[in-house]
Amino acid sequence: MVPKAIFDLFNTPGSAGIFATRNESLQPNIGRVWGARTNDDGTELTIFTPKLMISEHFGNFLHNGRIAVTVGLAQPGSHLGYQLKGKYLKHEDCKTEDHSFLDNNFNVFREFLTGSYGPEMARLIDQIPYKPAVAITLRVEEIFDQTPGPGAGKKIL
Amino acid sequence: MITQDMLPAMQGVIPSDLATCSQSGEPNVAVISQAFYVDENHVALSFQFFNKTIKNVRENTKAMLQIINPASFEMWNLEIEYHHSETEGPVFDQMDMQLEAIASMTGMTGIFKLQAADIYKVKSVKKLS
Repeated sequence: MVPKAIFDLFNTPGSAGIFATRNESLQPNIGRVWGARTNDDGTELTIFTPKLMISEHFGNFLHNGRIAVTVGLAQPGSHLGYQLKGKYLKHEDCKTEDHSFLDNNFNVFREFLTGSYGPEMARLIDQIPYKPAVAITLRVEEIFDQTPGPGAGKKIL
Repeated sequence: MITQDMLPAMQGVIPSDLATCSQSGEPNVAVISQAFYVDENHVALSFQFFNKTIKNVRENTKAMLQIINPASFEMWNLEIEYHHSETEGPVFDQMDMQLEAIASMTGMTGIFKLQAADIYKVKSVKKLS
Protein backbone atom coordinates (compact mmCIF):
# COMPACT_ATOMS: atom_id res chain seq x y z
CA MET A 1 0.00 0.00 0.00
CA VAL A 2 1.44 3.38 -0.99
CA PRO A 3 1.97 5.71 2.05
CA LYS A 4 -0.59 8.50 2.13
CA ALA A 5 1.92 11.34 1.61
CA ILE A 6 3.18 9.69 -1.54
CA PHE A 7 -0.35 8.72 -2.59
CA ASP A 8 -1.37 12.39 -2.27
CA LEU A 9 1.64 13.61 -4.26
CA PHE A 10 0.91 11.28 -7.12
CA ASN A 11 -2.72 12.40 -7.20
CA THR A 12 -2.05 16.15 -7.05
CA PRO A 13 -2.26 18.11 -10.32
CA GLY A 14 1.07 19.40 -11.60
CA SER A 15 3.03 16.18 -11.48
CA ALA A 16 5.60 15.31 -14.12
CA GLY A 17 8.37 12.80 -14.37
CA ILE A 18 10.13 10.11 -16.29
CA PHE A 19 9.99 6.36 -16.62
CA ALA A 20 12.44 3.67 -17.71
CA THR A 21 12.18 0.23 -19.26
CA ARG A 22 14.83 -2.10 -20.64
CA ASN A 23 15.19 -4.59 -23.47
CA GLU A 24 16.55 -8.13 -23.64
CA SER A 25 20.13 -6.82 -23.85
CA LEU A 26 19.69 -4.74 -20.67
CA GLN A 27 19.69 -1.54 -22.72
CA PRO A 28 17.53 0.94 -20.83
CA ASN A 29 15.13 3.32 -22.50
CA ILE A 30 13.53 6.46 -21.14
CA GLY A 31 10.20 8.22 -21.54
CA ARG A 32 8.38 11.23 -20.15
CA VAL A 33 5.44 11.28 -17.75
CA TRP A 34 3.03 14.18 -18.00
CA GLY A 35 0.61 13.02 -15.37
CA ALA A 36 0.13 10.16 -12.96
CA ARG A 37 -2.50 8.81 -10.64
CA THR A 38 -2.96 5.80 -8.43
CA ASN A 39 -5.90 3.48 -8.04
CA ASP A 40 -8.00 3.75 -4.88
CA ASP A 41 -5.74 1.65 -2.65
CA GLY A 42 -2.42 2.79 -4.15
CA THR A 43 -1.40 -0.64 -5.38
CA GLU A 44 -1.36 0.44 -9.00
CA LEU A 45 -0.02 3.52 -10.70
CA THR A 46 -1.13 4.83 -14.09
CA ILE A 47 1.24 7.13 -15.93
CA PHE A 48 0.50 9.13 -19.03
CA THR A 49 3.08 9.48 -21.75
CA PRO A 50 2.97 10.95 -25.29
CA LYS A 51 1.88 8.40 -27.84
CA LEU A 52 4.49 9.46 -30.39
CA MET A 53 7.35 8.60 -28.04
CA ILE A 54 6.15 5.23 -26.72
CA SER A 55 6.77 2.70 -29.49
CA GLU A 56 10.23 1.60 -28.33
CA HIS A 57 8.89 0.68 -24.91
CA PHE A 58 6.17 -1.68 -26.11
CA GLY A 59 8.65 -4.45 -26.85
CA ASN A 60 10.20 -4.00 -23.41
CA PHE A 61 6.78 -4.24 -21.73
CA LEU A 62 6.11 -7.53 -23.47
CA HIS A 63 9.60 -8.95 -22.96
CA ASN A 64 10.08 -8.35 -19.23
CA GLY A 65 7.47 -5.86 -17.99
CA ARG A 66 9.84 -4.06 -15.60
CA ILE A 67 9.20 -0.33 -15.16
CA ALA A 68 10.74 2.38 -13.00
CA VAL A 69 8.90 5.71 -12.64
CA THR A 70 9.98 8.87 -10.91
CA VAL A 71 7.55 11.72 -10.34
CA GLY A 72 7.90 15.12 -8.76
CA LEU A 73 5.43 17.88 -8.14
CA ALA A 74 5.64 21.33 -9.70
CA GLN A 75 5.56 23.39 -6.52
CA PRO A 76 7.76 26.33 -5.57
CA GLY A 77 10.66 25.27 -3.37
CA SER A 78 9.72 21.61 -3.50
CA HIS A 79 12.32 19.05 -4.47
CA LEU A 80 10.22 16.11 -3.30
CA GLY A 81 10.40 13.13 -5.57
CA TYR A 82 9.78 9.41 -5.42
CA GLN A 83 10.70 6.47 -7.58
CA LEU A 84 8.30 3.59 -7.97
CA LYS A 85 9.28 0.25 -9.43
CA GLY A 86 6.95 -2.43 -10.57
CA LYS A 87 5.43 -4.65 -13.15
CA TYR A 88 3.69 -3.52 -16.32
CA LEU A 89 0.02 -4.54 -16.33
CA LYS A 90 -1.50 -2.89 -19.38
CA HIS A 91 -1.54 0.12 -21.63
CA GLU A 92 -4.31 1.81 -23.58
CA ASP A 93 -4.99 4.92 -25.55
CA CYS A 94 -6.28 7.74 -23.39
CA LYS A 95 -9.99 8.34 -23.30
CA THR A 96 -11.66 11.76 -23.33
CA GLU A 97 -11.73 11.93 -19.52
CA ASP A 98 -8.03 11.02 -19.42
CA HIS A 99 -7.22 13.91 -21.72
CA SER A 100 -9.21 16.26 -19.48
CA PHE A 101 -7.14 15.01 -16.53
CA LEU A 102 -3.97 15.58 -18.54
CA ASP A 103 -5.02 19.07 -19.59
CA ASN A 104 -5.62 20.04 -15.97
CA ASN A 105 -2.34 18.50 -14.83
CA PHE A 106 -0.38 20.16 -17.58
CA ASN A 107 -1.99 23.55 -16.92
CA VAL A 108 -0.82 23.44 -13.30
CA PHE A 109 2.67 22.49 -14.47
CA ARG A 110 2.58 25.28 -17.04
CA GLU A 111 1.46 27.87 -14.48
CA PHE A 112 4.26 26.85 -12.13
CA LEU A 113 6.94 27.22 -14.80
CA THR A 114 5.50 30.47 -16.14
CA GLY A 115 5.32 31.88 -12.62
CA SER A 116 8.90 30.85 -11.94
CA TYR A 117 10.52 31.75 -15.26
CA GLY A 118 8.25 34.31 -16.93
CA PRO A 119 5.58 34.43 -19.67
CA GLU A 120 8.00 33.35 -22.42
CA MET A 121 7.97 29.93 -20.77
CA ALA A 122 4.31 29.52 -21.75
CA ARG A 123 5.20 29.68 -25.44
CA LEU A 124 7.81 26.97 -24.98
CA ILE A 125 5.65 24.78 -22.77
CA ASP A 126 2.83 24.88 -25.30
CA GLN A 127 5.11 23.13 -27.80
CA ILE A 128 5.38 20.02 -25.66
CA PRO A 129 3.36 17.24 -27.32
CA TYR A 130 1.80 15.71 -24.22
CA LYS A 131 -1.30 14.59 -26.19
CA PRO A 132 -2.42 12.25 -27.64
CA ALA A 133 -1.23 10.10 -24.82
CA VAL A 134 -1.09 6.51 -23.74
CA ALA A 135 -2.00 5.38 -20.23
CA ILE A 136 0.39 2.78 -18.83
CA THR A 137 -0.60 0.96 -15.65
CA LEU A 138 1.85 -0.82 -13.42
CA ARG A 139 1.58 -2.76 -10.18
CA VAL A 140 3.61 -0.94 -7.54
CA GLU A 141 6.19 -3.22 -5.90
CA GLU A 142 8.77 -0.86 -4.40
CA ILE A 143 9.01 2.85 -3.56
CA PHE A 144 12.21 4.84 -3.01
CA ASP A 145 12.83 8.38 -1.83
CA GLN A 146 14.30 10.38 -4.70
CA THR A 147 14.44 13.80 -3.08
CA PRO A 148 17.94 15.17 -3.89
CA GLY A 149 20.44 14.61 -1.14
CA PRO A 150 22.40 11.83 0.56
CA GLY A 151 19.14 10.12 1.54
CA ALA A 152 18.09 9.67 -2.06
CA GLY A 153 17.55 6.03 -2.85
CA LYS A 154 16.28 5.06 0.59
CA LYS A 155 13.62 2.39 0.32
CA ILE A 156 10.23 3.42 1.68
CA LEU A 157 8.14 0.42 0.65
CA MET B 1 27.11 12.32 -32.70
CA ILE B 2 26.57 15.38 -30.50
CA THR B 3 25.77 18.37 -32.69
CA GLN B 4 25.89 22.10 -31.98
CA ASP B 5 22.12 22.43 -31.59
CA MET B 6 22.26 20.00 -28.67
CA LEU B 7 24.78 21.98 -26.63
CA PRO B 8 22.27 24.33 -24.91
CA ALA B 9 20.65 21.18 -23.53
CA MET B 10 23.86 20.39 -21.68
CA GLN B 11 24.24 23.59 -19.69
CA GLY B 12 22.34 22.37 -16.64
CA VAL B 13 19.42 24.78 -17.15
CA ILE B 14 16.91 21.93 -17.37
CA PRO B 15 18.04 18.78 -15.53
CA SER B 16 18.69 15.79 -17.72
CA ASP B 17 17.27 12.33 -17.10
CA LEU B 18 19.14 9.05 -17.01
CA ALA B 19 17.86 5.49 -17.28
CA THR B 20 20.10 2.64 -16.19
CA CYS B 21 19.60 -1.06 -15.57
CA SER B 22 21.06 -3.48 -13.07
CA GLN B 23 22.78 -6.67 -14.15
CA SER B 24 19.70 -8.52 -12.86
CA GLY B 25 17.45 -6.58 -15.25
CA GLU B 26 15.84 -3.96 -13.01
CA PRO B 27 15.58 -0.53 -14.68
CA ASN B 28 16.22 2.66 -12.72
CA VAL B 29 15.60 6.28 -13.56
CA ALA B 30 17.15 9.42 -12.10
CA VAL B 31 17.30 13.15 -12.66
CA ILE B 32 20.85 14.25 -13.36
CA SER B 33 22.16 17.66 -12.32
CA GLN B 34 24.74 17.76 -15.06
CA ALA B 35 25.11 16.23 -18.51
CA PHE B 36 28.42 17.77 -19.53
CA TYR B 37 29.69 17.96 -23.10
CA VAL B 38 33.20 16.47 -23.35
CA ASP B 39 33.46 16.10 -27.13
CA GLU B 40 31.18 15.04 -29.97
CA ASN B 41 31.40 11.39 -28.90
CA HIS B 42 31.52 11.67 -25.12
CA VAL B 43 29.50 13.13 -22.27
CA ALA B 44 30.28 13.33 -18.57
CA LEU B 45 27.70 12.87 -15.86
CA SER B 46 28.12 14.07 -12.30
CA PHE B 47 28.72 11.41 -9.67
CA GLN B 48 27.55 13.04 -6.44
CA PHE B 49 26.17 10.25 -4.25
CA PHE B 50 26.82 6.52 -4.41
CA ASN B 51 23.36 5.38 -5.27
CA LYS B 52 21.51 2.93 -7.47
CA THR B 53 22.44 4.75 -10.67
CA ILE B 54 26.14 4.52 -9.97
CA LYS B 55 25.88 0.89 -8.89
CA ASN B 56 23.99 0.01 -12.07
CA VAL B 57 26.44 1.54 -14.53
CA ARG B 58 29.38 -0.05 -12.74
CA GLU B 59 27.84 -3.51 -13.31
CA ASN B 60 25.96 -2.84 -16.60
CA THR B 61 27.54 0.00 -18.54
CA LYS B 62 24.53 0.69 -20.78
CA ALA B 63 22.41 3.78 -20.15
CA MET B 64 20.02 6.18 -21.88
CA LEU B 65 20.30 9.92 -21.34
CA GLN B 66 17.55 12.39 -22.22
CA ILE B 67 18.42 16.06 -22.61
CA ILE B 68 16.20 19.08 -23.23
CA ASN B 69 17.05 22.37 -24.91
CA PRO B 70 15.73 25.09 -22.54
CA ALA B 71 15.20 27.55 -25.40
CA SER B 72 13.07 25.30 -27.57
CA PHE B 73 12.16 22.22 -25.47
CA GLU B 74 13.58 19.99 -28.18
CA MET B 75 14.56 16.61 -26.70
CA TRP B 76 17.14 14.02 -27.56
CA ASN B 77 17.77 10.49 -26.34
CA LEU B 78 21.44 9.57 -26.20
CA GLU B 79 22.33 5.90 -25.94
CA ILE B 80 25.50 5.98 -23.86
CA GLU B 81 27.95 3.54 -22.30
CA TYR B 82 29.94 4.14 -19.12
CA HIS B 83 33.66 4.28 -19.83
CA HIS B 84 35.63 5.59 -16.83
CA SER B 85 35.60 8.12 -13.98
CA GLU B 86 37.80 11.16 -13.39
CA THR B 87 38.40 12.82 -10.03
CA GLU B 88 40.72 15.51 -11.32
CA GLY B 89 41.56 17.28 -14.54
CA PRO B 90 39.85 19.86 -16.74
CA VAL B 91 36.54 18.03 -17.14
CA PHE B 92 36.22 17.44 -13.40
CA ASP B 93 37.17 21.04 -12.61
CA GLN B 94 34.68 22.54 -15.05
CA MET B 95 31.89 20.25 -13.88
CA ASP B 96 32.67 21.11 -10.27
CA MET B 97 32.27 24.82 -10.98
CA GLN B 98 29.11 24.28 -13.00
CA LEU B 99 27.61 22.08 -10.31
CA GLU B 100 28.19 24.74 -7.69
CA ALA B 101 26.34 27.22 -9.88
CA ILE B 102 23.45 24.79 -10.38
CA ALA B 103 23.30 24.09 -6.65
CA SER B 104 23.22 27.79 -5.88
CA MET B 105 20.33 28.40 -8.31
CA THR B 106 18.28 25.45 -7.06
CA GLY B 107 18.80 25.79 -3.33
CA MET B 108 21.05 22.75 -3.16
CA THR B 109 24.22 24.43 -1.91
CA GLY B 110 25.99 22.09 0.47
CA ILE B 111 24.04 19.10 -0.83
CA PHE B 112 25.50 18.83 -4.31
CA LYS B 113 29.17 17.89 -4.21
CA LEU B 114 31.00 16.38 -7.16
CA GLN B 115 32.75 13.14 -6.28
CA ALA B 116 33.73 12.22 -9.82
CA ALA B 117 33.03 12.97 -13.44
CA ASP B 118 31.74 9.76 -15.03
CA ILE B 119 32.74 9.66 -18.69
CA TYR B 120 30.38 7.94 -21.13
CA LYS B 121 30.80 7.14 -24.81
CA VAL B 122 27.86 8.17 -26.98
CA LYS B 123 26.69 5.24 -29.12
CA SER B 124 23.69 6.86 -30.81
CA VAL B 125 21.55 9.98 -30.74
CA LYS B 126 17.87 10.21 -31.50
CA LYS B 127 15.97 13.46 -31.71
CA LEU B 128 12.46 13.12 -30.31
CA SER B 129 9.81 14.80 -32.43
